Amino acid sequence: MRRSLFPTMVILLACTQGLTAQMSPGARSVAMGGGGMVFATGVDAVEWNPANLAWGGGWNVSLFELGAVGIGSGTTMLDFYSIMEGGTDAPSLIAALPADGITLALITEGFGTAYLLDALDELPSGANTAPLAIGSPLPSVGLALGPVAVRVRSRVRQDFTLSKELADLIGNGFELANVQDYAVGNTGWSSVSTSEVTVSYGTTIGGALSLGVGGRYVMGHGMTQGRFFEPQIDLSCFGGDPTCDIMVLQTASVEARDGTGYGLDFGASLELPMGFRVAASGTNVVQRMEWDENQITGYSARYTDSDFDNDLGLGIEDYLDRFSSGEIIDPNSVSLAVYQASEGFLEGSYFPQVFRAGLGWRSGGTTLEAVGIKVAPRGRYASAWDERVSVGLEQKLPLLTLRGGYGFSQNGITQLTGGLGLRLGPVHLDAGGGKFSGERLDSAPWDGYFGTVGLQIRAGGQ
Amino acid sequence: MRKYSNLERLWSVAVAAFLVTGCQQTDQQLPFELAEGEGATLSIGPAGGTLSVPPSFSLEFPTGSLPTSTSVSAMPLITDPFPQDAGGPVPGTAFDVGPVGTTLGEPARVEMAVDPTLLELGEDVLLSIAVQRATGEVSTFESTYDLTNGVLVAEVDELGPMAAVVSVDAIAVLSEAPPSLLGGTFPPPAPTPAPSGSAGAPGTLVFQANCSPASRPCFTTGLIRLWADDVIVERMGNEIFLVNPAVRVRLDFLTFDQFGLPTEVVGEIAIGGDLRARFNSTVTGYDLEEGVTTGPGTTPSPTTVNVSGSVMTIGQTTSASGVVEFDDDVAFSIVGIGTTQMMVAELEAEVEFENDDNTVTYGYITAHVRLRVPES
Repeated sequence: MRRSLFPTMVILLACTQGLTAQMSPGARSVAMGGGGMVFATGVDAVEWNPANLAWGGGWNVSLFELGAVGIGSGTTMLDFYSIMEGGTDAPSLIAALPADGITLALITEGFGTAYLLDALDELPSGANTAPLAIGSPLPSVGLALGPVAVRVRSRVRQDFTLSKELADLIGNGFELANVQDYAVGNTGWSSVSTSEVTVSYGTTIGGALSLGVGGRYVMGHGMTQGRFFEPQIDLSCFGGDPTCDIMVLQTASVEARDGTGYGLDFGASLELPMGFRVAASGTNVVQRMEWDENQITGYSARYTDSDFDNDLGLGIEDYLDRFSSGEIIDPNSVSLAVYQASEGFLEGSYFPQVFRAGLGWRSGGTTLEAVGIKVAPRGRYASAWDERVSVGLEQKLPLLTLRGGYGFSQNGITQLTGGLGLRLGPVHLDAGGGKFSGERLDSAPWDGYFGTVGLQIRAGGQ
Repeated sequence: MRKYSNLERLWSVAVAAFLVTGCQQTDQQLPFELAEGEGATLSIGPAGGTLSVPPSFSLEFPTGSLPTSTSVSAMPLITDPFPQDAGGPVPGTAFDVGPVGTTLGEPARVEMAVDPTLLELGEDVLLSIAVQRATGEVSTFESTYDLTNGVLVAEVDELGPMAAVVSVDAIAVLSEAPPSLLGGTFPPPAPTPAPSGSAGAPGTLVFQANCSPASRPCFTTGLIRLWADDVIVERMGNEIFLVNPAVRVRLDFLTFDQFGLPTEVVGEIAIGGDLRARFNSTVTGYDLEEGVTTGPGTTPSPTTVNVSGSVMTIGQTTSASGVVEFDDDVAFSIVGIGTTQMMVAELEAEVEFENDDNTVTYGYITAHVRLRVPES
């Protein structure tokens, strides 16, 4: 069976124990179609709307929250897997890919990702994972005491783009007859690993209005950016000399560590008659993020046509080990490939301002929410799914809470979600998940999956 | 002591946080760019290393490239223009790399950023990295150009001024079938000079052609035309050029039969250059050196020739790599040009393509070389 870089990474990251979702923090929100902002309470309110802390009361501890989001375009996740594994249907799936290839965004919980990468490092061959990403030493936990709450959140975000031609090379293996077609195009990747500590406070003004503010300290653990370069073809090898490399693919990446940043969130919430509530919040309304620009490390690797052999292709550790050990970049001693891989590396390397507004209705055990989210077009860590409208429904039953939701975005992505909550006294175990689908303007599919599990202890309050 | 309301507390926190965090984020910049005109000097030993002048140039020495620790330098070449012998230098790509004349034990990898927007249509296929050697000669190297990222790569064997050059001496390899050659009548050889009063002995008939970037560019002389067959076009595309071609052909027909057809020949045929092809997003090159000499060795020696129709069969030839062939057929035609004669000789270069089932398919590049009788 073929073992190649991309599928293995996807599988490993998607199966990580210890994940969290950035796009919809909290299992409740995930289950409600990415809504859940209007009536979020306790620790959940820190990232959704700090003003809600004023309404909650009581206390609440988030012991863990594990989640992952994966969304891609160009093909479906299952078809992507089949392509990468060189399945029998790979040729037809590759032929159906759009001209700009495949994109894939993954967001995972940082502590769990660190665990996974450590496991990779401990492989017999000692895979060099530094060019891809690093995780976080801090787990995602939280504490809310009445109007004050603190949330620690670690996450890793990775983005991949893969040209159609390179998908062909990986999926079908190297074929000399196709050598003039191979192209790398926009193939590349980026990742960022951070931990955030957010302290929020909410207070009521009069009896119906609450306002909230949150301050966030961001620790950047690592940020990478890499790209492939177009294949170098050696025409003199066309005759079949087995010692001759017909094609050489070069890749280079850069990595920064030790980033620090700050963010400021605001929120407001207004209680209306008949169980209605309107709310608005802004995350990272004011923010800064800086990385240590004097400690940027460069890596490079070269692959040949034989590395893509259908039978003898490399495994993930082999691909990663091909990267150089990495050196702090010296402008007088950097290859042009590494230099080009660093272009735009630090530009926009801060988190987007996210503005949300929502209307909710609650009566007895039934909650209904509609939330719209807008992202300021600054910074490069905005996701295709960040801007959306979500509608969510929550129904509390004895011991159980049922949730469902639907969301859609302007760029054609839709999501259908569901979830379940189990309440055993103060212990709340919540799970939510769903599926992304939809089509881009060029009819290429959006596809993805996400899920979050959270365990909280709640006492008092709403 | 005054008691603050919740709203006042919230406002205070917000203002304090705003002051702490400062104004909006601005983009961080990488500290890698050198000042304009600034170069780099680095000591590189036998273990190898990389010298760079970002954002345009890097030179990677592998292990064993430099025998001893050497202070290697690279400076943008601003004052002295790079010679145009091998083509026009692309602006901003010329670098003075020293110590000039250092011969490398292992070739060093040069990477140059060449902005595709600086190139005219079609020039990307004609790009090469050129080095001015210590002798003053300018050599181009087999180069690969990444059309997506604008990176030109070559491996060089000597240090000296370097630049990305666009060759003006390039022959397009055509994809249609070459025209048929129809043979013709060999002109009588000019008699050798003889002592006054007596008839001269029969002389020899010489046809020759010479062109190269350093002397007479082949493109301007029109001495050579090239065609690729379907196999070549299928595997390499239809944008193929022979860049900086060099042609050196001399056929000296020594003896003739009673019909005026040659029976013995001595000479050599050599065609070289950088065969360039544009693939999907890459231009790649291949150092083409095809040549044969008449006779059993690499030094030309007389051998038989038999002319039949439009084909002359040369009895024995030896390739530059020492492979001996017998009865080598060469199609030809001879036509009169003004007061002299021109021979067009057809030569073929074979290119092997391995298939996925390990079989080999052969493609052929056909060259028509125009030979003339030299002026006495």
